[in-house]
Amino acid sequence: MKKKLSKVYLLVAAICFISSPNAFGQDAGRKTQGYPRLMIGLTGGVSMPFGKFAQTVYCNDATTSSAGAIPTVNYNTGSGFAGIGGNGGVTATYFINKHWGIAELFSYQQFSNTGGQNMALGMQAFPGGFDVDSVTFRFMGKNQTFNMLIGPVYSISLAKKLDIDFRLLVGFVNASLTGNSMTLTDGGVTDPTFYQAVSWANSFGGQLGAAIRYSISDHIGIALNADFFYSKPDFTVNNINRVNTNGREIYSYDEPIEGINGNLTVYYVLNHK
Amino acid sequence: MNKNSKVIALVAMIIMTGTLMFSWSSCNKKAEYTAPIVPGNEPITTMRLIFQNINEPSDVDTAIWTQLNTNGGPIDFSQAHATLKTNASYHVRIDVLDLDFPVSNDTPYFVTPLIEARRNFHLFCFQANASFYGNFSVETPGWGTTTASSLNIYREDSDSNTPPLAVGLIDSFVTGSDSSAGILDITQHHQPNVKNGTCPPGSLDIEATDTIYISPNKP
Repeated sequence: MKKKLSKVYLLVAAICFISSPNAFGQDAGRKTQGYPRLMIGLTGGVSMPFGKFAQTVYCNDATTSSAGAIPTVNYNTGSGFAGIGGNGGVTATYFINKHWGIAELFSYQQFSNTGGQNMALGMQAFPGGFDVDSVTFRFMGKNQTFNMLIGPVYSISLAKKLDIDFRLLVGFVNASLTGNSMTLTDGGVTDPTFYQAVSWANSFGGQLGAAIRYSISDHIGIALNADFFYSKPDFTVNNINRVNTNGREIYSYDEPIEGINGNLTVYYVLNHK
Repeated sequence: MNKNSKVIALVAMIIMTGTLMFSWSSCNKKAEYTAPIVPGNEPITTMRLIFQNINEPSDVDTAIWTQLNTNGGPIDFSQAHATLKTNASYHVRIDVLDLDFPVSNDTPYFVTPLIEARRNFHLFCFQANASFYGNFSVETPGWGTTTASSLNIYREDSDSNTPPLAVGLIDSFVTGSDSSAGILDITQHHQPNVKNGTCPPGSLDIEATDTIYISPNKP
């Protein structure tokens, strides 16, 4: 019991030390200006998706019960064919005290389209596709999100002019799922193109991350952010001019849009406490 | 703000803008992919029709049409004929084969299972070739209807499209009351995503012609 209590005391002491004003020499750089009360910033950087959203797999496998039976193809309907993209936005942080604040972020995030060759080859082959001479596959639109997020920030001063901010932002995400078009050519005959329309959906989402913030001057600062982002919109997908039951065809998509943002943010400090 | 600070801020903004531009330009690359052309569909050299009289199972006939060189080589019509009785119904099974690449010396390669598996975008069509026998007529009416033709052909199998569409590998041939003879064109259509129950869309995999004799007395 004594041993347990001593562990709790140690933990409390550690938290007190980390959050104390003198920890990491926090006050050293704040003697003249104090901590920033309100900062606004421009942020931009790279968005790296992962999970099913970033998969580019056409189908997992195909099975058949007997010769002549139509093979059952296990299409990978979770693949989002999203590649590395970018994001940009405006952020503002209001510090209530030296450590805690509230941040908001309005941002736009766009992902590149990738894995189109897999779709073309999958649609060309059989089983899984239409068994044709040639397939031309085109992406239509973008995988993108518009984000309006808000949440708490916890800041710790590491050294003079250098802080680390932790933030958890949640809010509204408006997302679009890229569409595509497919043109089949067989025996010298090119069939009418069919489409998977671009889809839109709203969702609850958020991001969790940390930033190393450096004060260049009293009013200007830069920060390097790394944030995990997540949202799970439920898209309804419309297929146009799709005549026959064959090939990968999705009617909905509800896989998470998740990944890591690596950003550079330029801050302007409006006033200090 | 001192001069150094301004420079650093400017550099930071340039890097940020550059990162954004790079990321977004990579998103806007031409997004078109073409699967390499794989010419040729199912290799088919031979179409075989096996007729069996529904009311007289011993009444069986076979028509075999062969073109070993599918790039315009000679056609073997020697077995491309069948005799059917008047006012009779025949169960017909179509087999498509590749004799150029037999499984063994006496076992041809059956393409039929491939077509069955691909039935959602294949269709067999039948029509009279009036070039030789002008009065020969062939129809492929829907079930329950009969036209006044020499030969009514009903496709018996269907695919898994919604709604299901006919395929034609298994058929019923119903003959008329008049003795007649004619050339029957049988075409296998490859209709990827354009199959709608009619013959025109898509491309042709094979076109065979068999001579059909319809007679009250079969030798």
